[in-house]
Amino acid sequence: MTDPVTPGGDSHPATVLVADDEPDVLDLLVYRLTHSGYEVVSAGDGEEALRLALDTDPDLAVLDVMMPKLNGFELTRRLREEEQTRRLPVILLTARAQETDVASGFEAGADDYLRKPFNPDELVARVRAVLGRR
Amino acid sequence: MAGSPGDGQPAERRVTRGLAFRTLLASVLLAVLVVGGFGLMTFAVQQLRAASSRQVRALQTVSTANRLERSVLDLETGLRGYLLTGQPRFLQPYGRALRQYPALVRRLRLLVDGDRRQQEQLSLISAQVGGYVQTWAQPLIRTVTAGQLGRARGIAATGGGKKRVDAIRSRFAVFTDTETRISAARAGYAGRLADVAFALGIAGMAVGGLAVLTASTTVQRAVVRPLRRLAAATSRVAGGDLSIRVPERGAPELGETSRSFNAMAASLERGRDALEQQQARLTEALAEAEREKAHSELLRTYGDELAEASGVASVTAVALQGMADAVAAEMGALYLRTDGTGELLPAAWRGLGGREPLPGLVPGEGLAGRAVAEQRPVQAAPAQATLSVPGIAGRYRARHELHLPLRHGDRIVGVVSLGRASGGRFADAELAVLAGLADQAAVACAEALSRRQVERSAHEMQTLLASTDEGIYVIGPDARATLVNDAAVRQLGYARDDLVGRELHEIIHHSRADGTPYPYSECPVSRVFQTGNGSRVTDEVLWHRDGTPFPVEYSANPLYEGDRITGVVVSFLDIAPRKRTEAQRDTQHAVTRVIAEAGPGDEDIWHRAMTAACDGLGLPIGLGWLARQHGTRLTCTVTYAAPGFAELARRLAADGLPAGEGPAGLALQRREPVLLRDLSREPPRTGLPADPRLRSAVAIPAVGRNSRVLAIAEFFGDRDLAEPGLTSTLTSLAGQIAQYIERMRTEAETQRMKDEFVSTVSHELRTPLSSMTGWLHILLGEEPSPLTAEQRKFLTTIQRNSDRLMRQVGDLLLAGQIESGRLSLEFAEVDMAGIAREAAELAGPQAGAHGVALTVEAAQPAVLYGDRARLLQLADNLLTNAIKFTPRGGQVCLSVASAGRWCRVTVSDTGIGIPPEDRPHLFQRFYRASSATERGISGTGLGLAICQAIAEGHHGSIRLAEHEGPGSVFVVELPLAAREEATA
Repeated sequence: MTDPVTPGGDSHPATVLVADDEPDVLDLLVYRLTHSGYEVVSAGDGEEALRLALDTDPDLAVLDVMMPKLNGFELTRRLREEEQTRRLPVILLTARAQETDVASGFEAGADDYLRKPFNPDELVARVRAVLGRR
Repeated sequence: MAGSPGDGQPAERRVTRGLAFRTLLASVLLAVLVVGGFGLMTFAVQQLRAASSRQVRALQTVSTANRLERSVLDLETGLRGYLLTGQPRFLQPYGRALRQYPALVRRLRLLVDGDRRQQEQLSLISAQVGGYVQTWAQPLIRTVTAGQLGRARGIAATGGGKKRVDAIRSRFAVFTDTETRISAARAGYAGRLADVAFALGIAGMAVGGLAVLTASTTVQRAVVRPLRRLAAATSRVAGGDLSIRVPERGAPELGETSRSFNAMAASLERGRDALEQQQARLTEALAEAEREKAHSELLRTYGDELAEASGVASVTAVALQGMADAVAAEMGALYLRTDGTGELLPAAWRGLGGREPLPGLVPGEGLAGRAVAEQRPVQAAPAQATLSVPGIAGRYRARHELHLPLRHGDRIVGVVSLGRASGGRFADAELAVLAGLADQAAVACAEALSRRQVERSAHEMQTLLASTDEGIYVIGPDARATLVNDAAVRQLGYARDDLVGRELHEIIHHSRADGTPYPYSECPVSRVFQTGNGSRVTDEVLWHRDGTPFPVEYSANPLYEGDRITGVVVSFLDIAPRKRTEAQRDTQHAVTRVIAEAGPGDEDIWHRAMTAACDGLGLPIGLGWLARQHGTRLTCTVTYAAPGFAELARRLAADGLPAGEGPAGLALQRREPVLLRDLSREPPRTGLPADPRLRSAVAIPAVGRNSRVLAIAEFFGDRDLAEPGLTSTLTSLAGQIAQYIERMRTEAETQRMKDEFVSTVSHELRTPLSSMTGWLHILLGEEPSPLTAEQRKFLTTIQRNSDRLMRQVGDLLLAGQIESGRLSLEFAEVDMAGIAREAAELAGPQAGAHGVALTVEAAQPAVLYGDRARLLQLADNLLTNAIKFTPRGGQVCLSVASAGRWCRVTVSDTGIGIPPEDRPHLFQRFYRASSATERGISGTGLGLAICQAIAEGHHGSIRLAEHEGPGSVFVVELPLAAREEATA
């Protein structure tokens, strides 16, 4: 939180889109990422997340898999279909421990995944790593 | 004719001397007389003939002498002519005479042969002629020839020739005279002799005639007259007058003949008397024979009638009738001894009893009883008679009665009682007749009784043989069947005539179960003949007429007649039904066992169950079908095929089946077992040609709850599957299969629900926990901390328990995955040493809190192919456990070392250790060591189970090492990644 990564090296902090249907978890994510120096845009479901992704043009998306209306896999697939968000990095949050889930996540186009329950510090580390990879 | 020997012999000898001597004497005398006369006359004739012959010869001699003389003259004449003329033609007569001369001399010599004087004369003549020729004629001729005719004439003129010729001629004259004289003398002698012979002949004739006359008279008197008397007497004897005798006179032979004749006549007279007596006896014997003939005719007729009768009733009726008729008995009864009791029961009767049945007899009681007891006929006097006939005015009693026992051998067969109301007592002749009849009747009755017994026995035997289910046959010593019962005929499928009288072994027992030939000599049945011991066989087959074998149990026992085995009784039972039942039972057990032993997710069970069913029941093809598309279609899921049937099974299973197609489809449609007994008429599949090896098929539906068909088991048999119990056995198995399928489905459903539950729990529990721990982390990680020391302590406690809860939820999820065998691992190349250090780092705070010293020995990297998070969990679990069970001040050590192809992770502690009784259960889920529970050490009992699952998931192992001292040592061994494998 003292060393936020800024994409492209400019002074503007990176924008992270966070989507989770659990408000408590969403709040936690928003709080932690905001305090780590990121601009955070949050959504309570998949559809909203898709709209925000297109409207706000974030630098990264952290998406819960189990969401009503549009789940994380589907949302990722849709994001990859849109020209604007084709290259948007996606980290999936999954409560499922199934290998198949992980596989289908990568298949859908995710860049990383994190199992719930997650350590907030680890999330920040991953976000930083994915953004730095670019 | 020499009828009287004895006294005839000496007389005959005397006669031989008498008559023969006299006849011989007379004959000799007569012969001498005749021979003498004849000889005399012959002599005379001989003399006459000799004289005559001599005369003839004399004449011939004279004539020849004359010719010789003339030839001498011719010589002289010829010579003289030659001398006179000198002409040679005059020598021709000379030559001719000279040539004739020797022949004439030779002839003359023959004529005077025997008269020496004449021969001498002839020699003189011959010599003189020779002298003339030699000394006179020849020299003269030579002289002439020499041309000295004159000289010759001169010589001749001397007359020397004439003298010589004259001398010769005088000699001839003497010769001729002598000859004539001799002839005359002979003629005279012969004439005298003839005269004497004639006189003697006349005298002999006279004597002969006298002798013949005398002999004729004697013969007349001594021979002819006695012969005539004999001839007359003989003709009278021939006429029958045997009293005639002839006088014994005449020649001794004839006298003897007459005596003989008289003796003969007397003898004939005696013979005739004897013959007449014999004749009388013969007539008597003939009459006797007639009676005998009638008797035997009666016996024969009786015997024939008895023989024709059949059955005891008929035989006894005939027997009684014949006996009663033979003696004109109006009443009678025949009683037979029945076997067992001594009582005799009436078998036939005449005139007696009327309508009421006759009472039986007891031996010894009554007259008939006495006859039986004493084994002899008993005749009753009129007063004692017991038989009676019902009549108009009461009963007529018999006047005479006879009770005859019927004996056969030394056994009393029965008794015949006969009664006569009129007539006299039974005569001896009648008794004799009756005795003969009784003998026959006894034999006939005994035979009828024994025949009835035999028939009853045979009937019982037939009934016995017909009423048993065991096949029974009897084999004779010639191996041919003498008896075959109904059950045997039925079980073997033959007609009785195909078996009786034939060599049964060759028909029904020719091969063993495996089809190899079975010679009769090796058959236990034939051995019974040799050993005489019965035998029992349980593992052989007999062959049905249709060429199929069936398993039998049989016993073979000898039939004895005395010491001789006359046959073997074989009693067999088709044990195919029993074997079938056993096979069905065993199959059911086998399949049940397969189902019972099946584990979860055991896909091979279907094949094992089908194999057990087909093997057990001897079926070449078994197909398992699952119902699909709401019971409208079948899919083959398991195929069993005996060797050689695989291709056929594949074709039968191909493409699935719609409902109604084939046995399986029909069973699906009807929801009940379907049996097709003859596949040649009902092909198992449309368009698939019937295979001759498959005879019948059966399809059994496995019906679950709600009458839903779950599956079909379809079997094909190379035999008729309409076997008792087969369908019910298979149906029962299908029921078990259905239950199993439903159980499996239920379990699968349960598993699915469990998975869903776990998924839900993981989400529903972890989400709030995530939120809680997340915020706690943020709160506690805030710097500068807004919290008071006390607040920080409270929040730390909350965080620790949240973490614990989180880990327990994780462990529960993992345990669920392990249980369902779906532990998911994400393999990658990892360094176990690094993981160990990380785990130690994580456990550090806990160790510090417990006052336990934690050391790590993991300097060398140990690269293996594994799931990093799980391996970290493994190490963490072991460390956490060690710390938990180690009292304050203890030590925990984690080490990682490579040994060969293995990476060894060791976690040791100086803790309380694990009681030996807990050790075998350490790795069971939810098991907690007693030491842990006693000391109130918290835990779920999942840690070690998860460790084991993770180690095994990496193809490794975990164990509790034996060690010295306090505490525990856990050793995990994991395969190291091979360099090639890792890069691949």
